Amino acid sequence: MRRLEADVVIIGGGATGAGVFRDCCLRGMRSILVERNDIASGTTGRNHGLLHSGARYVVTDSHSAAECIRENRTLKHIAGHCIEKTDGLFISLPEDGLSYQQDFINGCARAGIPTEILTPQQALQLEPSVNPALIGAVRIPDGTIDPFRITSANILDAREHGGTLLSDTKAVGLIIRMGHVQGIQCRDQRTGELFEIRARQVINATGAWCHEVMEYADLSVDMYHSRGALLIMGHRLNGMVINRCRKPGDADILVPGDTVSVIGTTSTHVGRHELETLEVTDEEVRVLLEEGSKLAPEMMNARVLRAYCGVRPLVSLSSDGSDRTISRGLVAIDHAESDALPGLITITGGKLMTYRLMAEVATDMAVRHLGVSEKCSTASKPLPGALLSDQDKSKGKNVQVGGYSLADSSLPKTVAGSAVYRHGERAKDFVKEDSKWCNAVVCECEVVTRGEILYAVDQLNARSLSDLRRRTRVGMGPCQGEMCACRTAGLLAESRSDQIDALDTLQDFIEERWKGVRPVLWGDGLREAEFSYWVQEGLLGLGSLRQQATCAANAVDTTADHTTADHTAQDEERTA
Amino acid sequence: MIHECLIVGGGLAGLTAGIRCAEAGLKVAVVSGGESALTFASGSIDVLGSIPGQPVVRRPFDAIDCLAELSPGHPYAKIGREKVFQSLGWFHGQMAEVGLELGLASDCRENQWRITAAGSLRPTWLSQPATKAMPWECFHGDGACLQKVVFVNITGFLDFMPELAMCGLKQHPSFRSVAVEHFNINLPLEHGHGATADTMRAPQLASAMGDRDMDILARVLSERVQDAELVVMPACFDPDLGCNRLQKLRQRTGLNIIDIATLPPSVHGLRLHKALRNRFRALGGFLIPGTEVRHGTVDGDRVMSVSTGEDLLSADHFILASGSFFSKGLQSVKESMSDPCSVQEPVFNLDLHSWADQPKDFSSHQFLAPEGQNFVRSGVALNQSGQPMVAGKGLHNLHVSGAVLGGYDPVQECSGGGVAISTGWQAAENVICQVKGQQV
Repeated sequence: MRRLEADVVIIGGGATGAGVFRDCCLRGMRSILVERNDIASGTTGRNHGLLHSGARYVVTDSHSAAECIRENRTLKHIAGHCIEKTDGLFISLPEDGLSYQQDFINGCARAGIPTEILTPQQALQLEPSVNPALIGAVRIPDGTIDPFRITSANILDAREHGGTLLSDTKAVGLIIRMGHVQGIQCRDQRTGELFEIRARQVINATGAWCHEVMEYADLSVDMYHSRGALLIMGHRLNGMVINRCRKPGDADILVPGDTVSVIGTTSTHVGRHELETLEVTDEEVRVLLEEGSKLAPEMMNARVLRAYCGVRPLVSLSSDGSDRTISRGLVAIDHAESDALPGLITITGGKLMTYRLMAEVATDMAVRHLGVSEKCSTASKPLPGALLSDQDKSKGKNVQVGGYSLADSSLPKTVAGSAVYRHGERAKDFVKEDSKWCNAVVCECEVVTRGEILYAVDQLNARSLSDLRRRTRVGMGPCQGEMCACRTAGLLAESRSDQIDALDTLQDFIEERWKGVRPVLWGDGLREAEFSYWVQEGLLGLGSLRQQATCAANAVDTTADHTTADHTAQDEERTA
Repeated sequence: MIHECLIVGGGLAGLTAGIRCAEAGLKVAVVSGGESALTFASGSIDVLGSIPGQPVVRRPFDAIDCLAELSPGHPYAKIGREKVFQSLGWFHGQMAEVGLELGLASDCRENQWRITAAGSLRPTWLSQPATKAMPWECFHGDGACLQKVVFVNITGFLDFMPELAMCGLKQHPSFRSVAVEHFNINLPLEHGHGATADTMRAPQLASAMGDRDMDILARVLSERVQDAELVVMPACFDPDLGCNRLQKLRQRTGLNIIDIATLPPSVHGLRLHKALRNRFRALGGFLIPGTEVRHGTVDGDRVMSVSTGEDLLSADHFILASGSFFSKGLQSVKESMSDPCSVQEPVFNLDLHSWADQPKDFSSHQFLAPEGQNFVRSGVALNQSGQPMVAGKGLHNLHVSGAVLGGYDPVQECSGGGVAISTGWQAAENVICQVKGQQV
């Protein structure tokens, strides 16, 4: 059996795992991160993308609120290219009354969150999409954060500091010798190969799935899995984040992000066995639209692009009922202390906002055992891509990166601008004028170029269309990858044909997009879906290819000897 | 101006009906709202390629009897096998009149194959002029008639994906022992005004190519392709009806080159649309483009007029060929946030084939599902006499054709083109019959 060695092995490629990975690498530890699917493919990629100010929690959970505002400031500094400093409003509607507003303002003051009380007129002026029936508003420093981008930036930095990323790799067991955890057993999800990673510390950063890893050591944790459903609107309705100023409830936050707005969430308890089969229900769609349009009435007329849901990894520390009362605070368990099982650390609970802090706490635990003296630097060192100032970014095309000026380029501002918006100064790695084919626009909705696709494949470890979507936004726009999915699959086949089955990944991508479109299939969404169906099935016959392949597989059984021989001969011929 | 027949919709069904009416000497107008679905069609005419639970259809007209038995509400069931054949044969002739020679299989009642840009093989009945080298025997069963296929793209052009097509083709049983290769040819694009192929869609690429580009293509193809029986290229050569450039390229290289539909907009689809419009106009039909019909006025069992919002258009007879959801011939509406969505025919509010109204019942769990999608099958229902109805009551002077009709699945059945043409032709025949009847 193949065996790898490291100081630390991290299980889970969400924001937290990626944060631990970076922290460990920056502190000089040899680190390997294993992720069973792709980075940010679990809870990390299935939330609002809200850069909390903490204000949401000031009344119910002051500890989380204080954590949030600290991290809010830190992330604005280290991850500028993943963040929009939009600010947010907490609006009171007539049915809410103003009584909550006073508790809210007092809570913000306690947590150190700056507030500004606005009249309804002032609020409407700042944010024209807000419900004009509002009776009061408070401005707080909410913002937006791209969860894919920040995870990817953490991974990129870790790899540039010597870390190894193994995606499509599932941890299937812990190696426990003499009462010590000494590493993990893994399976390569693509080849099925089993192998070992020996490490002095294993950090379980699998969030909502952390009980699975703990069970490998016969440990248990009382997870409360809370599902939250969200809707993506077809265009950007609001400039600022809009919250409802009342106790946390369904559909009370509308977050803008890139070209869209996201309304959420709901909160439903789900059993651990339902984690892999989550689907948004019609009832959830109804609640989100009804409640959401109270924040911004324009939502009634907007197209709903897709629906999705994620699972919060809440840890139940008491047996008290509803999940909204369970703390959003982080839970770090050093199993050396709690279970007399050295070598294993679990980091869970928490939220996207506090991923860096969670990573710091977990890494601090690890270094104590490993005798590493290096202090955490992730709160001060900017992530790759975050070196440009806000001013640089807003100028888009006029960005000067490492002696290369986008201002002199003949590129359309949208092309250069989108690249810099998503990748900061790293855009220089693929926005090149000398290679003309690099700037071809593959995805028109999100202005993703051929160069950006190839960069994500080479530098950001993208191996499928969905991986590319998470790193570049390809296929995320209003058309949901109608044609760009096919073009991108062609490029993938071109670039890494040995590792990727372009058709498989194209079919998977199409089905994944469909999952989110199906619950909101009406109006223009249906028109778009019909068009996609004509193109992908009617014109290209992608579905019938799958059926042809099945027929082929059946046919092979009867003529196996003959065709296999033929095939091999053919392959040799082509290699020669 | 009072028209004898006013047709709502300028796609394949509407223009087919228009051509037939004009040919019979009727005063006919076609009102067209915008881009036709032909813009992203393959340009081939599918009649019937698949019936659920049965092998791929080789003889589409013969299979119509079987289809009619399985689904009596199918538009083909109402028209009948021989009339479907008659209408499609007539259509073939009409296109030839304006110089578009669509290809038939050597047995004109048989299907042939269309290779898609993803390497899938789809049964079709009429092919674009240069695509006629795909007889049924070619890819059926063990498909021994080919040794080698080469895909050739223009460097930088994004809407044709040879690598993808190669993967797709290799999945098909009859291609298991066929060698499949590809390469790109870099072209200067003589009429491209400095723009490169990576910024172009297929129609632009077609107009950017000049004689110099064709010379380069001929030279490189002759040099690099020696032993392939089939060369597959993107349809980006001839924006006009004649397909002369590709014919010439075949002659110069001696190669069997076919051009296949790219991602939309498709040169083949646009060519077909152009041929339809030319023929319609040549016969004296009146085309009103860029005009969306919003509402129809019904009095008793007759349609009196349709309104565009600005103008009221009157006629003795109306044909509705407004397409499905994409073309807004059908709409799926959510009246309020708490209401489930409902499907409507927006001009006359015609009765529809009923489908459950929750979004999820309207579609399949898988997008590329073998059982197809229910939303594709929804559309206008007809009564026993083939008339559309409002609240159960038949309309005498309104005829419905094409994708706005319900009860069939153009995509899974590979029947979209054939249904559009035969129902368009049938609607026109009905109108002609009624008009001539009145004259007598």
